[in-house]
Amino acid sequence: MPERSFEDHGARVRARLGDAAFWAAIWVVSGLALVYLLLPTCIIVGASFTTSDFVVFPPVGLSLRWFAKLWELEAVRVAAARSLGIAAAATAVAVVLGVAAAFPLVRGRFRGREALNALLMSPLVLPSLVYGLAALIFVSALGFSLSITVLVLSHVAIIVPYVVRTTAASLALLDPHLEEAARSLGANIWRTFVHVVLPNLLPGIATGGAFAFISSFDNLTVSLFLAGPRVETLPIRLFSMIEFDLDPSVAAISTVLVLITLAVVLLAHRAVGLTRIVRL
Amino acid sequence: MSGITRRQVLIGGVAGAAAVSAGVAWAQQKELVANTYGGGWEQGHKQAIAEPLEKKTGAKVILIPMLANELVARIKAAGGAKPPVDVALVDDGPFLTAIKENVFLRLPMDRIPNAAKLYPQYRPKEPYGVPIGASVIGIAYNAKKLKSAPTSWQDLWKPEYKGKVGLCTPASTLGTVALLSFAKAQGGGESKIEPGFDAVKSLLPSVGSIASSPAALQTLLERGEVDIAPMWHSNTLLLKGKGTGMEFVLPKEGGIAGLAWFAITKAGNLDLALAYINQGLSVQSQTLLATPPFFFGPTVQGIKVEPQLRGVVPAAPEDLARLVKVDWSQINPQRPEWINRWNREIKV
Amino acid sequence: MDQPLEPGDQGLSRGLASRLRLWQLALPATLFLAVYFFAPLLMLFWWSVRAPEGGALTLANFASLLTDPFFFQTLWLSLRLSFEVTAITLALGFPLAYLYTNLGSAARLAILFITLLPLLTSAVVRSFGWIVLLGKQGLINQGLMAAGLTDAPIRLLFTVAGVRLALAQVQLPFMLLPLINALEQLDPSLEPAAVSLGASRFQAVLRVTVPLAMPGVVAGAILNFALTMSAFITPAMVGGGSFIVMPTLVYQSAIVTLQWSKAATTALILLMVALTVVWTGTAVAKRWHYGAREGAADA
Repeated sequence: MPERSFEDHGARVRARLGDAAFWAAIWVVSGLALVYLLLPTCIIVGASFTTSDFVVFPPVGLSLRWFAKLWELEAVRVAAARSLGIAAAATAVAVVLGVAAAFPLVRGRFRGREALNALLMSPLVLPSLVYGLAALIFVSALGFSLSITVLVLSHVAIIVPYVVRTTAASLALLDPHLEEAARSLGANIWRTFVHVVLPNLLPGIATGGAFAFISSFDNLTVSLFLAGPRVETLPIRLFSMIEFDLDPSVAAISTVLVLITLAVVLLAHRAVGLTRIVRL
Repeated sequence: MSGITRRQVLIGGVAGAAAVSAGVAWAQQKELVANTYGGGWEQGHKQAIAEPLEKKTGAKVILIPMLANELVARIKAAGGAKPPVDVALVDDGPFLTAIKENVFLRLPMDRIPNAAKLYPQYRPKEPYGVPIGASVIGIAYNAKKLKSAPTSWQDLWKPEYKGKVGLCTPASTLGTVALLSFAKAQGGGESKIEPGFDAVKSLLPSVGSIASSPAALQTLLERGEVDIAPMWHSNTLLLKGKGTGMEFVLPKEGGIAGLAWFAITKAGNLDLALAYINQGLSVQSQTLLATPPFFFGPTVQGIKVEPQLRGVVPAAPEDLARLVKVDWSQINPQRPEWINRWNREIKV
Repeated sequence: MDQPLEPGDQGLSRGLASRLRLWQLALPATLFLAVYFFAPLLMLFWWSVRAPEGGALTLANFASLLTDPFFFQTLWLSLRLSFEVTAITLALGFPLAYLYTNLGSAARLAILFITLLPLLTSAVVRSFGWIVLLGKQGLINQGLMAAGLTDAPIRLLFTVAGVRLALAQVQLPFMLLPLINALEQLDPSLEPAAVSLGASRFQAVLRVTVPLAMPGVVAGAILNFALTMSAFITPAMVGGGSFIVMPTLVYQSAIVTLQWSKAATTALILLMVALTVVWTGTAVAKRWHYGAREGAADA
């Protein structure tokens, strides 16, 4: 780095101190921000190991009793299974829709390409509160009753952008000459897709799918509007447990959820690399 | 082309979907949904009613937390479609509203044999529901943290309690009754609620937090966010049992009686629902629910209540008869306006 | 054969796959969103302009809300809260994003991890953490009392201050990602150039980096603002039953009191206010950007 030139020693010292103060400030604020980001999650995870009957941090003693209790909470098991099923179904549909849509977005040369991109990304910009209400009114006005299918489809709508985005990013990095080469060797479009394109897209699809899955699994706002009292998802059960029936088992459930999230983030890193995800 | 053809995928998909929906339909035939008020209610009903029923019939019982007022509104909103619950747990007030609006099924009492043992004073005039538990509203306070015990609603304004008082919104029976009690203490009543709102506003400097359900208020008391509040006896005694130091007292103006009712929704699962209600009125269930940590007053004759609890747990209709009565037929039409007004004007 | 790949290429084979045009691949997703995303939004708009009893178009729903002082109070609280939260996330996020661009890959990874983990954790779990943190027995009160700053625990839960703290933490990851992106895209030689010309690091950041990053920063900020204004979970949990912001009103009218016209109207007002802020912010950012360009050219 080119050195600054100074008239006297004193100015150089002042400049160094100024820089040092600047970096100190940056580091302090950044450290604060990092602690701030992690604190609530750490508190819940810590509190889940308490031996006491109520949620407290630091925990009173350490035990796994609240995790053991999770197995007995039938309502929680039911809600968790339901959430898993919904997320799996929604992600499957979103992947099919999203991967297909990524191709015209990246390879297409037609006029509406920008508009198509905006359209496919729009569920990300619209607040889920507004969408949840809109979907509720829409479905009921059309005469359908609320059901798991209605809920799954609404999740598809809000998670499809994740799949489109990561698949398109992966696809954009893929050299079209590879496909050209395969085709020139006699493969048809389908075989080219399955054996040449798909393997290279898989990391992007997997990452988008993972984000999509977690978004559906964690979703509360849209589910509150569309699930109806008989269809309880895990976030809904958590939400009502915190209001009606708060004890450390809620913290234990939360810890399990955090571990699942951790797994997803690690998966995404393995597949695509976190630094690349950020650029999406 | 490799392996699976498109047709095979299609057939597999249809078969899979058919299997799943058959499974779902099967599961729903043997599934009952009921609401509770969370906390001790959910635990109590699960242990005393849901689990025995599940063992007997092999069906699955799902308990969801929901307050009575909101539940009745949602059942009405469902109209002809599937209601949110099969068996509804409701308090006196919403029960009256529901009868008026023809929300519940007229019960075939002959199919609920245990109802014959109900206390005569508790028997419903019209068979649209059966009482399942009796409760009392009084004052909960933390004897470990507060030096003096409250003896009247007016004591809530004591400087010693500043910042430690908890309240419940009129979305719950508890909040509505507390508001009404404050009004009555100042010369008002069901038709004159203004003194009640004035009283609450003057109490606000002492209020620590306002909860929207008794279960949430119970959590606040447990966590020490508030130390004194109008409260149901059952929640208070449950907290006392946890060693928090919570005590329950009746104010000198009188505690307020309340019955909780089971009713069946119209488009619900009738057979299972009747079995559920019958189980709830059984001796085993009523006995279990009357003991710690639940403390619900029995509605069926012949249930033993521990002598030391007889002061606080309403063991028989005579215990309830001594308490203050509330005229729900006057309150119900005004309640939505009270709730609305509370939302706008009461902020801590 | 040596043909370049073209959209809609017929290829060498028969079958459905070959007759597919490229743009048709976008049809399933587009149709699905049209039916299940955009149509509901239109329906929402329709419900806000029709009278509750059904029938004619009317602006009465909007009028009745906009003339209600309680509604305005709530709208103002939402706006105020969102501005404050966006300011906090900017103040905390920018230094962290700046640090990120000056660190090596291992440290960057760590920061990304710490950012993505809360981002992907459910808002319910994070708000629950704040309920425990802000309570009278919570860590903050414990710390304050241990430090001797107060004798009795202070009320943080169910207050605006508590919601502000919690909401800022919930939104911080959403702010960090666009900030990091914006800073990463800058020409890395500009800042050292300014330094070599005699500016201190701080001045270089202030005069060169910040103005150039501003468009990306503003884009992130206004997106965050819109998201914060429509956040339902955190105010509901950390604010308690009495804490009412715009999303609470929408939820109550939709689910509790079942007045869908009112809910739709409230939601639309919320959207329009958020959009207004977005447009204003974008316009301001554009002016800033051009101003900064000129400034940098002079430097």
